[in-house]
Amino acid sequence: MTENKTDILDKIPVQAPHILSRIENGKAVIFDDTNGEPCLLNETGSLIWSLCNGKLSVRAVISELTCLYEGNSSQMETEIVDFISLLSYKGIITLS
Amino acid sequence: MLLESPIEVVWSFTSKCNLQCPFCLVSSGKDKKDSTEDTGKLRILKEIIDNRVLKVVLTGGEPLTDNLTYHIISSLRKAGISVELTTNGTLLNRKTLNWLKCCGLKNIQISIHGSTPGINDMLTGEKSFRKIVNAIELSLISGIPIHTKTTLTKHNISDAPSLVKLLSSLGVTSICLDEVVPIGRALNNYSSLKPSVDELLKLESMIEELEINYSVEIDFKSFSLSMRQDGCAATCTLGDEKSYLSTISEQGNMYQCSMSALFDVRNNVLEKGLKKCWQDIRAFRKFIKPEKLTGACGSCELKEKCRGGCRGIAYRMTSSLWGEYPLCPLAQRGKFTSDNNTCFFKENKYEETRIP
Repeated sequence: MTENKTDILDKIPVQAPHILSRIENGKAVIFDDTNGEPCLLNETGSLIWSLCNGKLSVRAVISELTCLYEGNSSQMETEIVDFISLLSYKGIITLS
Repeated sequence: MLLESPIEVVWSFTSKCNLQCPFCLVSSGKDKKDSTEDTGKLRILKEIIDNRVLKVVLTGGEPLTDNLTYHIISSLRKAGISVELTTNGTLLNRKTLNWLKCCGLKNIQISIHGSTPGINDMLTGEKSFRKIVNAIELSLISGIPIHTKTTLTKHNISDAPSLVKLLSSLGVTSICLDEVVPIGRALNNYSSLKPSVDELLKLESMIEELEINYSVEIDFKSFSLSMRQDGCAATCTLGDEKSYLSTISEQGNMYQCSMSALFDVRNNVLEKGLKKCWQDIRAFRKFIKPEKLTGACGSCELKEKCRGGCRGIAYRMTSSLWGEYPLCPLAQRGKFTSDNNTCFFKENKYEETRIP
């Protein structure tokens, strides 16, 4: 969680192999197979999760989302970076 | 979180077993025949895959007594579903393990109930100790992650430290020690199986030292001790909308937990489909009504908090939907001691299997 925002932008997020997931009504149900903990992401979180596919950098994920949603792009960027950092901190994704 | 289908399913897909443990949760054994034909099992498999269950724990009986197991594991893995196998180990061999590894099996749980052939084989009813130890060794060589599970009874609880030592010497690092639970065959044998609270407390006090001395992780579960610590029975979550787990019995009935199967309610995947069964599992909430509880639970100040303990066990042991929870230390107070609750079993109408 201490990673600098500029450090993270060029990294490529990938869903961790021990995380199982499925989409229900546009929302991702994710399940940590190592500790048996499930959680349900909201629609925006689910979209970010689906974009953590090992092909897009964090910067590209931000670009995809700012195209889809209206609003303060700087604030959106901060929130996306914070969310991806949280997923990384929890071991739900890896950043390479 | 009301999900469309369970995230994890524990599928007890055969009643057949080559052992005859007196504490078996589903009363499986050599003489058992499955009521669900292979075609039915394949339909349940399809329901699991179609409803995007994320994880399946295959259990029995002994899953490896049924050749269909291999097809089921292979199909689940091809669908991207995580699979764990619960086995007594006696039918595992190098070839089977290689196949399971190629399939991408997540984990194997191997049951072992004693550190010597005398203790283990007395409890399993067969000469199984050597085969189990061999299975543990082969599994570790195969590279498939394993953990062991031991059901703690009055006959093997004092042996637990020696068992931990043995398992550590074999290379096992994850060990589950679970107090016997009064369901399945254990319900009928409970008075002759239940370890005393003093024995459980003694073992509990040794766990940390055992973990350090033998570099293992021990998951020690004792519902008797947890009830004493909390002051009341564990809260039953039957029908909880936040639930994400379910069990499917050999007959195809879906329940939230093994204990809720004790109500004998039909909620069959083969009749209604998995999705409908999952929705209907919430109807089990009707069995949770603290205001209707009778006996010690009815007059207990904690009844709204604990909701009458495990209602499945209470129902089977008292033959009343609203009967008191006989295993609660508070309910037992003044009636009989915590280690002498045999009175409920005298009226039990189910078959009884005694340890030789």
